[in-house]
Amino acid sequence: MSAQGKPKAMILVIDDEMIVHQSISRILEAEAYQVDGVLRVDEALERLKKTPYDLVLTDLMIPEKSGMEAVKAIARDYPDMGVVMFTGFPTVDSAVESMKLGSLDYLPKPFTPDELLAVVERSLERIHKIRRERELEDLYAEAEKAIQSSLELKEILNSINENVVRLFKVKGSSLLMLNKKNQTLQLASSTGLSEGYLQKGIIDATKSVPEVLKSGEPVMVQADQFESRLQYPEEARREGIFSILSCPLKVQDKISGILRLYSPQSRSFSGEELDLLRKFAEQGARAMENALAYGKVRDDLEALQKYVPE
Amino acid sequence: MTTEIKGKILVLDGEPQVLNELTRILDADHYQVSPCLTGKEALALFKEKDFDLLITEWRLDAQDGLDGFQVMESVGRLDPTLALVVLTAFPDVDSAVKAMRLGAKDYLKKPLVPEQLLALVGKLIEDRQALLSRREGQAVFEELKRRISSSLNLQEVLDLIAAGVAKGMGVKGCTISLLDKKRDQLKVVAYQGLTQKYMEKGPIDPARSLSGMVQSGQDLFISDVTKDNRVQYPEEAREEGIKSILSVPLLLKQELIGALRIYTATAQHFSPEDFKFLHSLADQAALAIENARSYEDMKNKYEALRGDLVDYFEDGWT
Repeated sequence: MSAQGKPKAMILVIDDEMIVHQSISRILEAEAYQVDGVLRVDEALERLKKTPYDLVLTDLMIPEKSGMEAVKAIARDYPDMGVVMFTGFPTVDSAVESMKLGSLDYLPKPFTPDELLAVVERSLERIHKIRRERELEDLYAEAEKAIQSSLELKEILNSINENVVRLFKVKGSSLLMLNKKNQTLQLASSTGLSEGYLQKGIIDATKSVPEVLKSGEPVMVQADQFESRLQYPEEARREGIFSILSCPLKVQDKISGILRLYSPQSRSFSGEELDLLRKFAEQGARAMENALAYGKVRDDLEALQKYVPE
Repeated sequence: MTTEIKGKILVLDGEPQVLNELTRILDADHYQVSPCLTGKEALALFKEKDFDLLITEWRLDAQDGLDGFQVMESVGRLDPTLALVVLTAFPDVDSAVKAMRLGAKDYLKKPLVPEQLLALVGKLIEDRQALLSRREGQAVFEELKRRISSSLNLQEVLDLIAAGVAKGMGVKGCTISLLDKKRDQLKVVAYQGLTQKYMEKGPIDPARSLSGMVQSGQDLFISDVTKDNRVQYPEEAREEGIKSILSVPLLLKQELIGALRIYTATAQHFSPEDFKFLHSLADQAALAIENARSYEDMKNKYEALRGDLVDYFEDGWT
C-alpha cells in the first residue's frame, strides 16, 4: 500500500502463482493502489462477501475453478465492481467469452507495467461511471418523491435546494422567482450560501444571465465570464464560486423562476446531468404550483372562518 | 413484399463476395440488408436510415482510411441501442478485445457458418426490439408522472394512473383501489381495460385479497387466476379473459393506502425492471393521490363553510 493517504482503489488479484502476485502488486502499489491477493477463485468469492473491492484482476487458468467462473460470478453478483481477465494463454475465443460474461478487459501475459496500468485505469473509470449513474438514479428518485411529499410552499422550496445540492454535489443553490412586473429575480430560498452573498442587492432579470429566460434552457457561466455575464461578479468571487448553472423553472413553456447551482470549482455538467436537472426543475415547478393552489384555498377558508360567530 | 421483414441490417465488408453471401443468407431469412464496401458509405447510409444491427469486418483497407472500429464508434454514438457484431477474416486477440470493448455483442470468424449467424442475428434483433419497447414504456411512464403530479383533481389523477399503467406496461387492464377511511374496505376508484360487468362482480373481501399485502407491503402475483384459491371470483375473471393479476401496494410513508392492479390476458413475465418501474410509479401515485385528497378536503371544508355562512345570513345562525 502507498505510504501516505488513502489508496486510489482497492484491487483483488486472483492467480495461483506467487510470482504473478508479487509483480502485479509492485506495479500497482507504486501507483497508490491497494492490492490484495488470493490463490483460488472460491477464496476470492468468499473475500468479496466481506470486502468491497473496486476491481478484481483474475488469471484464466487456475486450479479447481477457472477464472471464467470468477468473471461470471462477479458480473452477476456485484454490478458495481469491475473485473478484468489476464492470461498467459490468450486466445480469441476466451477473450470474447470473458468479455461477453462481463470482463471489462482482457490482458495477455506477459504485460508491461504501462499496459497493466492503462487497463486498470480504464476499467476503474468505467466502474466509476456506472456507480455515479446508479447513485444519480437513486438520489433522483428520492428527490422527486421528497418535493412531492408536501403541499407547503416553504417546505417544497427548501427541499428543492437541499436535493439539488445532494444530487449534483455542488456548494449551494438558490431559487429565484421572477417578478414579471419589474423584471427582477427575488430570492425565495437557498442553501449553502452566506448571508452576505444573499443580500448582495436587487437582481435584475435582464442583467443576470438573461439568456436563461430567453432560451428556456439551462445556461452555464464559468469564472472567466463572470464580468460580462453576471450582475455581481465581485460578490460571486468573494463567495468562492467558480461556476454558476442557471436552470429555468418551467411548466409548459411558462417560466416562473430560476434554479441556480453554485460550484466552488469550474464544474461541467454532462448531457445526462442536464436532462435530469431540467426534469427536476420542472417537477419542482409543478410542486410549487400545487402548493400555491392549496395555499390559496386554505387562505380562503381562514378568511371565511373570521365571519363564523362564536 | 409479402412477408414482413424481421429487422434492418447494415453490412460492412471490403470484399464484394462476402457482402453478396451475407446478403443472400440474411435476405432469405427475411431481413432487410444494406451492403456497404466502405466505412464512409456505411456512415452516410446510417445517417439516412434506421438500423437494428451492424455486422462489420474490422479490417477495411479502403481509401477513406476508416476501419470497422471507427465505424462502430461513430454509429454507437449516434444510436447507443444499435447492436454491433464483428465478422472477420483476420481474427486475433487484440482486435477481439477492442471489438468487445467497443460494445460488440459478438466476434465471429470467417468462414461464416450460416446457422450460427442466423441464430445470433435472430437473438440480437429480438433483444433490441425488447429494449426499444422498454424505452417506449419508460417514456410513457415519464409523461404519466409529469401529468399526475400537475393535477390536484383526485378523479383525474386516478384515471390518468389507471390508463397510463395499462398503456405503459402494455397489459390488458389496470385498476386502482383505495382503502376507505375505516381501513376495512378496499374500493375500486378507477379502472381501465376491464368491463363494467366485471368491475361490479361483487364486494372485494380485503381480508382475502389484501391479507398478504397489508401485513408485508409486498407485491402479490397470481400467475393463473383459474388455479389460485386467493382469487375471489375465478369464474368471472376467466370470462373477462384475464390470465394473471399483479397487485402492487400503494404506500404512503410506509402505510398502505390502496393497491394498483395489473391484469394480463396471457401468461406474462414481469422483469425486475418492470417491477422497479411499477414501484417508482406506485410511490409517486400515492403522493399525487394524497396531495389531491388534501386539496379536495380543504376545498370541501371551504365550500361547506361558505354554504353555512350563506344560510346564516339568510336565516340566522342556529
